[in-house]
Amino acid sequence: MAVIEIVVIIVCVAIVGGVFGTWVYKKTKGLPTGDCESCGLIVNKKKILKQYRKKYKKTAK
Amino acid sequence: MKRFALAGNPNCGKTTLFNSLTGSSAYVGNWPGVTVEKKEGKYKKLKEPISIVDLPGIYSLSPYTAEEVISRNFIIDGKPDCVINVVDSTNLERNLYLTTQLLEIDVPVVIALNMMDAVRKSGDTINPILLEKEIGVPVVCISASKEEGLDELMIRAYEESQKKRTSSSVLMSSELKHLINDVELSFRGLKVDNPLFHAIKLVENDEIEVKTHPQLLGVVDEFKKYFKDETFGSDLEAIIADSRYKYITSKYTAAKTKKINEITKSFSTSDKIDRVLTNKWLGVPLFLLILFFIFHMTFSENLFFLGGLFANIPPSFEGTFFEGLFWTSSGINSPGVIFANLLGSTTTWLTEVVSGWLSSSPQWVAGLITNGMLGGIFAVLSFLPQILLLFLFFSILEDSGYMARVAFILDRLFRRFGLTGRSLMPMIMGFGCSIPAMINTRTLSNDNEKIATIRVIPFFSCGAKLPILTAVAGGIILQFGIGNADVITFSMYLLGMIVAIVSIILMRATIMRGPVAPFIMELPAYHLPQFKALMLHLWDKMKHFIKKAFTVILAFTIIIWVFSHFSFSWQYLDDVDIDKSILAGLGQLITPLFTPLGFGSQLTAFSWVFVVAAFSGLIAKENVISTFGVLGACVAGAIIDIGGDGGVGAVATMIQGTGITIPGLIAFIAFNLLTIPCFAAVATAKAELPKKKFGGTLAFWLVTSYAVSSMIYLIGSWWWTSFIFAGAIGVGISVIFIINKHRDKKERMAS
Repeated sequence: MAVIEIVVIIVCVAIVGGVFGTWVYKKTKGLPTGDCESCGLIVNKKKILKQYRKKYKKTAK
Repeated sequence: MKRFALAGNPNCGKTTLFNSLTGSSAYVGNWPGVTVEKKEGKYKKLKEPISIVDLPGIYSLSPYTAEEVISRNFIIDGKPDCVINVVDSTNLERNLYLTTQLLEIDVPVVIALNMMDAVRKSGDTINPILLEKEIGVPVVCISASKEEGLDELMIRAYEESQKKRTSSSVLMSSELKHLINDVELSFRGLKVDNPLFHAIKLVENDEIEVKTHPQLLGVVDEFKKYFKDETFGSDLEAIIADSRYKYITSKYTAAKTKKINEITKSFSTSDKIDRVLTNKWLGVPLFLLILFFIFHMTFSENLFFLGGLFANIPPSFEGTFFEGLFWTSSGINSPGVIFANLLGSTTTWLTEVVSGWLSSSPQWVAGLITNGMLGGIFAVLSFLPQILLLFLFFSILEDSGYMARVAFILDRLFRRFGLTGRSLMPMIMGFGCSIPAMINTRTLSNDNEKIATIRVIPFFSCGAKLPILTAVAGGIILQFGIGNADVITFSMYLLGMIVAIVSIILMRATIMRGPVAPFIMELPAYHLPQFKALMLHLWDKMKHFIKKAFTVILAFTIIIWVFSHFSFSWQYLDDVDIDKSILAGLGQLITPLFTPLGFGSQLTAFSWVFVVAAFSGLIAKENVISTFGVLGACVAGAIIDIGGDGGVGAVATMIQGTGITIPGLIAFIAFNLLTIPCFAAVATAKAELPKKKFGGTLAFWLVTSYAVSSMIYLIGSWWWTSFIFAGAIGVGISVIFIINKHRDKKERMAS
């Protein structure tokens, strides 16, 4: 196997592993995943939602 | 670190102030209700860094919707070191209503009189010193958009945060002062923070307060038995609101001087523009005309339909790398197409250069890098100029205040279908991205309206779906030589909106029956969009798009390339053999399901590519075109390459390779437009929808996209099937009508 083939395989595995690994890590830690441009700025979104639901439940107002 | 909260009415400029103070680029729009979550940033110009929290807009501290609860909770329970009350100076009287409530909390308050530039321009004056003396808290004049007075505001807020402020109320001169004092004493006995605020809210019969302290309600009820106001009877909430406004009017009149000729001036400029743009008959046609103009300027290759004049004129830069940049024999290119051509020529050149470098490399390495990675990314990136231009136009409409008018114009229409104009704002946000649009449905207080809105938001084609529309439209023109890109794209946007309206009618007539909530919306004054704000919007969009292209889309193109170039026995396959790949095997399993939609088993070759592309869109919609980019190169190996840059070229190759028809292609666009959105949007819908409504929503997206796409394909291929569909729809409508009539009769009899 040529050097370039080994390098390409390592780079590809790093890209795929890096992207999906970061996404899984952020999801498990409840961090913003930056799925949309305006959502990356939201701080403690889950906490606020949880707090709101605790008070009002997930039912009609 | 000290925390300062920005609180104020919707659309008073809190987020603009937040961006100016913290250097952030949070989304700003000229309509009420843009911010539905609190945002945090840092201000670093003082002795110590200050955390600034931007809160959703509220009219009072008695919340009605979810995002208002977030603001109230933060101000009351979050214990900020100072509340900066952002006040729209052009609407001082109404904005000060919230101020009178903030003063009832034991927290330092500083009033920021925003939009003072607009007040000065109109010839009015406001005396901040007098206002400060009357209200008893610091008042600073600022202009958040022009960044005037911000340093003074922060210095005053910092000074105030170091002092302890005790609450005060403007109601202490009202007839309710003794009752408020009694209830406040009871709260003090319970050792509750902010006893004055809680006491007044309990007297007002505030929903949250009654729920939290029902034991103290007896004092209020006892008082009501013996108390009667001449005008409001025992409606204490109305008496309190009236007292607040009486107070504000007295202080406001002293502090604000109106331009003398204002009374005689019958209409402001905004009013004059509104007479045309919100006209009963002209409003909707003008909106559609504006929308078409935007699409024409972004996608047309025949600007202003002058194509006939160019039939015998050679294309611009003929024989060079940039051939056809400005015009071709079809006509003049729109600005969007010119930018797209420029980028397309550059990416083609780049691919050729890389291909040259890799000519001596093993075949699979060259294939993966040029056809796979670069092919996939460039197919998506080739649409970036048009996406940015489209969003520039949308941002101009939004910033100028026109989009708020669109909600007003369409409220009349939407009301007939069971929704209010309020739900239109999240839908319009859906043109950008479905995720913030779904979060924005928190401004809707009615659950049925919220569910219906979340379900139809993905039908409003987001930025990520735009490459699909543009690439397929371009492919149709390139391969079949018919139609205009702007007309096809505009029609597909309209199709999304029409399906949304029909879906809402069906939902409201069947599973979501009930009255329509009233709709009140403040119309902001028209103003020229700010260059900085527009550039911030575009920068955000571009950053996000490029980041996504080089992360998620790049990773996915690698996966697609690997699965399309290896067989189940992990043998490497050449481009022409991709029909034997793992991807082809998996795709062929589900391809028959899509036969009624025109991109299934009936295709002559590579029948699985369209299905695989549609499924790849579930990760991110841009993947549909990147998948075409990767697979197009392989298909081109088996057929003659017919040219075209980026995504358009890839789709044209696919059309030629698979033998798909025009109805099949339109059905493919419709399926991608209406089906389950990307995973991120699905997760947001799950979080925002009430319990037990998520499964139904997924099914709704699947059924709608399948039904509409198959209808498009069947009618497009065999026109006489339209009679069958018309008959079936007619029967459906009649059944719903009869059932509803029967139910109404039953309900009337029961009542």
